[in-house]
Amino acid sequence: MDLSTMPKGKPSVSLPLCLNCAEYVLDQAVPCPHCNHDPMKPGGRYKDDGFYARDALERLLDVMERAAKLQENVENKQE
Amino acid sequence: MNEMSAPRILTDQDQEHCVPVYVVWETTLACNLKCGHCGSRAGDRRDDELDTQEAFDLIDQMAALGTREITIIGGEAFLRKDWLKLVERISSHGILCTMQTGAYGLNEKMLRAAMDAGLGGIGVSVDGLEEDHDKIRGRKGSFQACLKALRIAKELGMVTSANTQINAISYQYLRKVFDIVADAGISHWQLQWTVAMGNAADNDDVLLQPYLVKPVMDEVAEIFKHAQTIGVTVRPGNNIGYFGKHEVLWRGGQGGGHYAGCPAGHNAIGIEADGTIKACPSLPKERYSGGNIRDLTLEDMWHNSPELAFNRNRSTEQLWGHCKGCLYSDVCRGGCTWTADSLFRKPGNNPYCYYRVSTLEKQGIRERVQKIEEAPDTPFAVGLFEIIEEQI
Ligand code: SF4
Ligand code: SF4
Ligand SMILES: [Zn+2]
Repeated sequence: MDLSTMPKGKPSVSLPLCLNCAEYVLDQAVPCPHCNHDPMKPGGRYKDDGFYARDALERLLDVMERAAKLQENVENKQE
Repeated sequence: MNEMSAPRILTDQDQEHCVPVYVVWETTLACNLKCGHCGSRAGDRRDDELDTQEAFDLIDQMAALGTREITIIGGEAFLRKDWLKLVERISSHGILCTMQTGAYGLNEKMLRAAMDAGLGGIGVSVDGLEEDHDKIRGRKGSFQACLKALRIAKELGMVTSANTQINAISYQYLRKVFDIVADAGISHWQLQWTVAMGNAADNDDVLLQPYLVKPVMDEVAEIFKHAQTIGVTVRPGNNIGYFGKHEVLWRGGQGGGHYAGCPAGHNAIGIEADGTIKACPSLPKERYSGGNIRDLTLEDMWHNSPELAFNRNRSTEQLWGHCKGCLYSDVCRGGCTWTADSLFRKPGNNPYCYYRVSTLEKQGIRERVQKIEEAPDTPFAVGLFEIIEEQI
């Protein structure tokens, strides 16, 4: 399938989480509209309910996946 | 539309190039149940359903456009004599084929044959405890048929999901329903609000009132956490949401994963048994048909029909009412088009929203929906409802 011939669409945006109340916010640079905390400072429910650990794990898996892909590319080039 | 599997996960590329990743296909309107909440008023076959060759051709066209998953539904998809051939043809393209079913009359032999043909999974509709389910589905024994089909499919090694509509009856027994379907071996439990369409618009007592969305979803969050401990994934369907404190639990994570708006016509297609192509299978033909596959190619409709393209530029122009001023309007765009359109004959304002209900609750307000006009006696017909605001 040639993607260039497909109709154009607008991708959705990914919102950041407030790292205190674990609700989505539009902008992490301003106080959270839900809990009024600094959305970038981990704490509150985000930490207590395990979302902090979950996100850290997800980031780690992501980095590992990207590293594995890079490695694969390097090996392919060497062959 | 429901969620069961990985092929449906959208990449930026899918969204930028409007790849119709996921298709829900009503292969026949024939049905052996008589559901009191059936949006398509299924029962009898349509006069002019696609024949096998036409259906094959349509499958080939979907494959050419990049479709990765097709869910066959009805009516009852297995009532088509050639349903296994369709499954086979879909699978032959490497497209995941799943089936959404009421499971009444679905036996081991059929499930085995479906698996051999390449069926990747089934979703069985379980809409309450036994008595309520049999009543709303219009057939005694239909509840037990669901459980039996789920167990057999699981034993055969299929991915099985139970799909439950949350409505004015079922919401009281969600945990009990979950325990029963979990015991039948499901890997996913998919939830959806009953929408005011077809029979559900006639029998509007069945609709959950929007102000109950919050307590119900609070309970679903508890079930979700319990389900995780026994290896079952609870999945809120596209019309369940949005945002609020539970979004991160079932959809999200840091940097996205949250509800991203209705995919109808952007990355999803709905097909009626007569070959009508829509942006979502649940949307009414009168206003949402992009044409018929007997007259136009799928590619032509996908590129040129405005009825299929309304979601692609993610505009917020169509928003109105509470959704227009919502914090998440740009991302959510009023949630499920079908849910809102079925109430108001236009999308863009959705009272079935957790964030909305919570926000209004803080202001001492709750919302109710009330029917002001009946729906005509046709498939996918909608009535007209109004929102009544009440002081709590
Ligand atoms: S109020 Fe409307 S726009 Fe806002 S999150 Fe709810 S459904 Fe979406
Ligand atoms: S209208 Fe959109 S969100 Fe609703 S069921 Fe259809 S595709 Fe899903
Ligand atoms: Zn916050």
